[in-house]
Amino acid sequence: MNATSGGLLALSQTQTASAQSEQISRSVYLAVAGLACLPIGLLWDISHHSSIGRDTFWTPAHILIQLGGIVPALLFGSIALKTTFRSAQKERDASVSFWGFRGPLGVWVTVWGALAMMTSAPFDDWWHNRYGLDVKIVSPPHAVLGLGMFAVGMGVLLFVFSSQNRANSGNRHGLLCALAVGVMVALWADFGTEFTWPNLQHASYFYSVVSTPFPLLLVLAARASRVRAGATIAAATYMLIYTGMILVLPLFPAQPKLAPVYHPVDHMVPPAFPLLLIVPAVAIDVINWFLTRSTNLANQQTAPNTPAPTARWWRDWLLALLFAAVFLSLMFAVQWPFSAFLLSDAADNRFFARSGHWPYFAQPGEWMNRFFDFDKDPITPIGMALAFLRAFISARVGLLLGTYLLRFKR
Amino acid sequence: MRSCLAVLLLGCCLEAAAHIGSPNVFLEDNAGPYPVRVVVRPPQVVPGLAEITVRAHEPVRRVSVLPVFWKAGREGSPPPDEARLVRGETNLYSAQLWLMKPGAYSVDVTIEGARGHGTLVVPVNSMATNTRPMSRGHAILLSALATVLFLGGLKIAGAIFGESRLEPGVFATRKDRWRGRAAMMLAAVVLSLMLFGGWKWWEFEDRNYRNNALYKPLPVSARVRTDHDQLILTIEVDAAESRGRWTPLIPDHGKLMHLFLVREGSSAFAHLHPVQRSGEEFEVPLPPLPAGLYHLYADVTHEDGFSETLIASAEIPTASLAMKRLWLGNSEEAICSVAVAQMLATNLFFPPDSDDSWQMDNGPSVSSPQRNRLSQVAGQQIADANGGYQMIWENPESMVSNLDSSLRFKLLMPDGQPAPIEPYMGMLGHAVVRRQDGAVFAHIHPVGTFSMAAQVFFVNGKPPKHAALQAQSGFLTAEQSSPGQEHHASHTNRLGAVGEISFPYAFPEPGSYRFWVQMKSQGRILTGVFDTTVSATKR
Repeated sequence: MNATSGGLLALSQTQTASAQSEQISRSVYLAVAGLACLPIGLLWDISHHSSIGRDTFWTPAHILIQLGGIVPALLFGSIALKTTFRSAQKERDASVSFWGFRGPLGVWVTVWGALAMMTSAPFDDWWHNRYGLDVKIVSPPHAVLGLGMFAVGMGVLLFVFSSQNRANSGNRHGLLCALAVGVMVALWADFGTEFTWPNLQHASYFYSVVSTPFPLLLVLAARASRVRAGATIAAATYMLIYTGMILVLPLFPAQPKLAPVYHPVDHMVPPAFPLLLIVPAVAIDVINWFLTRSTNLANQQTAPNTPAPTARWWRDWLLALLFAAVFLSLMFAVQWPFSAFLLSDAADNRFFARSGHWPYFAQPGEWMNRFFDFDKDPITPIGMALAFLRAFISARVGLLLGTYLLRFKR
Repeated sequence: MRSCLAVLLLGCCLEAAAHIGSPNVFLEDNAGPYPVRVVVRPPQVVPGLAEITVRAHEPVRRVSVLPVFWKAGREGSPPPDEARLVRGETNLYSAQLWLMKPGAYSVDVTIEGARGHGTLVVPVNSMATNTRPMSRGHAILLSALATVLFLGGLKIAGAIFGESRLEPGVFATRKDRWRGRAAMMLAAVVLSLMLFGGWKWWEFEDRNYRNNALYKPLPVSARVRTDHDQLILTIEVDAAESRGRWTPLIPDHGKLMHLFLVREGSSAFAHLHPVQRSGEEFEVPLPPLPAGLYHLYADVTHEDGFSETLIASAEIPTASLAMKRLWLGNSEEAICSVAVAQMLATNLFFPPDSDDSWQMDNGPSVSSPQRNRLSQVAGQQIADANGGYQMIWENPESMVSNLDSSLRFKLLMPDGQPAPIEPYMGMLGHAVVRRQDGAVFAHIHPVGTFSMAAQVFFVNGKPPKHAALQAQSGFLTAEQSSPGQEHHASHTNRLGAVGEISFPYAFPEPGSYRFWVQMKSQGRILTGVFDTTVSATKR
């Protein structure tokens, strides 16, 4: 990299300060809105399978998920065609070539993701006919679908961040970028549903699972979005999507249509209460702000014609260590007692939903309010060391990706 | 003296169910006041969709179907689905139901019409039997899409590390281009590793399906020993290998096990009822069958309503002359009757069940032109059922696989008059269908192909424990204490004119079949043997 990470932090905040009133393109809003269809559609679909069971290709939840792929793909497809055949040189200059066509990089990543989502459909159909309808989230065809969704999301992120960087404007673009990262956090949380139930939060594996995608996304939001509290906004977006679904879904009546029905539900089942990611997110933002402030002060103290001091190459490695330690320790400090609260009578209400997320085919019992795998997979130094390793790698990749996105203009 | 004569076990992975290779359930009975014929085609995977067709024999207003899982009962069932009238038909309805769990289900068919409403309970086994690989077309489509994704992924990786890093309007230098190419090479490695990992995951899931989800017959061994000059057949289920699937049984027609022996080449047949000696061991005295290798099919119903056919094979030796004389008397024919059973009960160390029956080499059936003194209608098959009785298959012509039909049979007395048919273990008749290669086996009745015990289970719930215990001890007789007797009474009251019965069935696969039809008349259990060739369904 040509620029140092310290310099990039300074660049980020300097540009934030010089906010411009440049209009955000409608396609950016549409791309983020399209992306938001994915986690919301997935939560709706999980609720449908937990409450009603029987579905078709054309359920509203499935249509919403499909829109999450189709809207960005069509939007970006049209942008690619326009850039290739009708655009001004300025727009062509801010694009990359792809098999003879031109378009922003995010366009191609999203189109690739939409194609992967399409590929998963015949694969999943065959899978159901060969092995039976899967009643779990993680299966090979679903992994292809998830990969496609992830690529669609990454494409939208690239598009939104390139728009932010080209516009050279401040908070509104940065806010939109952080929101888009928050939607990605929600998407990852959807796929991790089976591993993050409150009942699993006293087991070692839970901390490894949450340390994999979330440090990456939160650190990325903090570094690359030109808004002061990027990680906090991203975590808040995720939590708002989840709490919104917890409050809205049960308003709709539903009845199981498949046997056996062990747990008679009469409304759409909500998801489990979201992880309190906002706590480590705030800490990450505070650390980021503190480092940025230090860098700015150092720059101001330097003589006018002296080049900015270059940060050491190991600075981001140390920062990744710090972010990983902060993320894991705060997640542990928060989720350990909070999960006990979520399984208690005090959480038995509309907002916290206690064990309300269990599907109609789960046999009700005391197990719903107990911790799983507590004995089999207890918290051990080795388990937490593995979780820390994951958090470190995740945070380091988040810093790399954030640095890339902060400079990215195509 | 006690000697072990033969030990053999068979663990063939056939597509099995309550029958072998014949998973569809046919039922012809009354739903309240309405006579109906129901066919349930269970899915080959679980969860999967069962296809249900209901033909009412008179106009009705509404037909609904309800899936009931054994463990959850009706209170654990969703609202019933309304079956739709098939286009162009006036009384044929169809529906689909998801079977979500492996195990015993029932499909409750409810008919509503001018005479009120009635419900019929159809037991269905839900289990995975599908082992078909991916079709060529599907494989080509998925491979093409995967190739495009792979190449597209390489191109994107090249762009991420190459052109996209440049400021707008700046042209890529040689260094930028090489960095892009290096990224593409690295991406090729990463994507290849992802594909390899996905392939391994798929293999793991496939192995998991084959080992844990795919239905496999319980491992069973069979051996024959001689005790007090009697040949005794012992059947033992290997409970250690059954992974908890061997659960207590419930009696079907008053018997815990219906055992069918078919000699290699199909030249001898027996329908016996072993006694349970212990949890996994059953014993039965053998009639003096011709020596040879026999295929064993044992129908059992578990206490959860799941019925299955256990398969094994055993070498049966020649019975002693004294035993032959005792069982057969001076007759050349196998006479299975109440009188013979009573005589054997007093003379044998281990007497047979009074409903045991067998048939030996009375030859294949002949076509009607050779026996036109019995019937003037061409295209019939006539079998010698011993004692001068004749059994006639009235509609043997042009059998096609998967064609829902009724196999009609008539029993004539030696004087050519229709024979009065008596209930044999609660049924007007029993038929055993076997494809010559053994890949298809089914035990069917005039009311259908399902287990009566399973139907009783779903109607009444679990039988009282003492009934099962009595049956396990061998004290339960055919007409005694079975909770299904009321059902049997309803079946036998409704069906069959004198001397004539029919079996609802569809041959599942093309091929050469032999089947044995058993009826009881004047205290004698009569068996007719028929052959047919089933052709493939025309598409």
